[in-house]
Amino acid sequence: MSLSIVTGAARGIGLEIARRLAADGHALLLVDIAPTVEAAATDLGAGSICVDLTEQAGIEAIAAVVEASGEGVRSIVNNAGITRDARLTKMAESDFRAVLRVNLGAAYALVDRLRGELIDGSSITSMSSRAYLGSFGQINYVASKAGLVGLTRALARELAPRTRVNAVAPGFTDTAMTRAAPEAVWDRVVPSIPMKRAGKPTEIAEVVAFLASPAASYVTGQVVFPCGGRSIV
Amino acid sequence: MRALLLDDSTGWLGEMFSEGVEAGAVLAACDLPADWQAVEERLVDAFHVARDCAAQGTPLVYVVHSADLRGMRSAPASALATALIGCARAVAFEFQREGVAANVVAIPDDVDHERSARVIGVLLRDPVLTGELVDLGNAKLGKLQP
Repeated sequence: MSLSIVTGAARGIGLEIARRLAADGHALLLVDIAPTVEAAATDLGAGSICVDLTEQAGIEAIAAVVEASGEGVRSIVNNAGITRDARLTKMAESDFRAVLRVNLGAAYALVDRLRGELIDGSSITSMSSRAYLGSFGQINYVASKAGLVGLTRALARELAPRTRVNAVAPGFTDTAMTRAAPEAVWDRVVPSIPMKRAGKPTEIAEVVAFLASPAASYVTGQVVFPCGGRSIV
Repeated sequence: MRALLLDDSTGWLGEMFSEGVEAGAVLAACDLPADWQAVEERLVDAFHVARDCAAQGTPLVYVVHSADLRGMRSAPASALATALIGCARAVAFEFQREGVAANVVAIPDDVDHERSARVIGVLLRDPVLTGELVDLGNAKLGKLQP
């Protein structure tokens, strides 16, 4: 059975995406830099690999698992991401580069390495963010997530009709990362969302599962915004 | 502060728009990047230019190739172009109160150089827009902008 790969799958939205795809019958390979990915995969009856996606050795290790399976790739979900927020005038170049490498460069490297393994009807979904439309103190994150949109458009053209390529741009979502934000942030952001609440990781995972499914067989090169309407206000 | 970071495809820009431009920066990324490392390096250049403009309160224009907005040349080229749009939006968002304008001008192969220079010059001389993508080609008509 061909593999579906989810990066950044040890926790948060990535783990929820893995759970949702498992429910749809995907044979999963969970990828993360955190060793806890192994336990997460075990719970789902999935395979796992603990690698640094910014290193070529990490990309090759994933490719080796795919090639050993001999079944190709059904779906890739580029979810791995980091933040290194700072005011632009205070941000270090190293923090700009680090975010680009994980959020954007690694996504390209993985897809580029596995493009020959993608089966007919396969899909690639990259996790952008509503923040790509603009955000405070996050030029590195915004650039990386906006870059994924261009990557999605180009790959959609290159890989059609064999593979569909889309992006998902979630808004404010209830994860460990946003839970760590000051209460004042929640008090400011939530009322600005038309749906008057944060998104749930399961709601983001539903969109990814749709895009990875035959139900989305005519959808490619698009960005879907599960953001509670925040991208329009 | 005045800064021009052009590439081979945009050398013609030169000083064409400079009349009346007292301050501001232009960074172009219209060449096809040779590899992913080239994408990262150009974005790091864009980061430094943005930081300098923000610190000095001067306007900023990134110049990209129109075709890259629609993924028509290569994946690295498109990633670079839309990442620069993200940079401009981030600067615009963070420094709107300080009046630092950051925009993107997208130029197709067949656009008149003088017209392009005029648009860029306006965005530097009288930056009434910020966080905008201005696509000078007609190919955008009927298409979604990134």
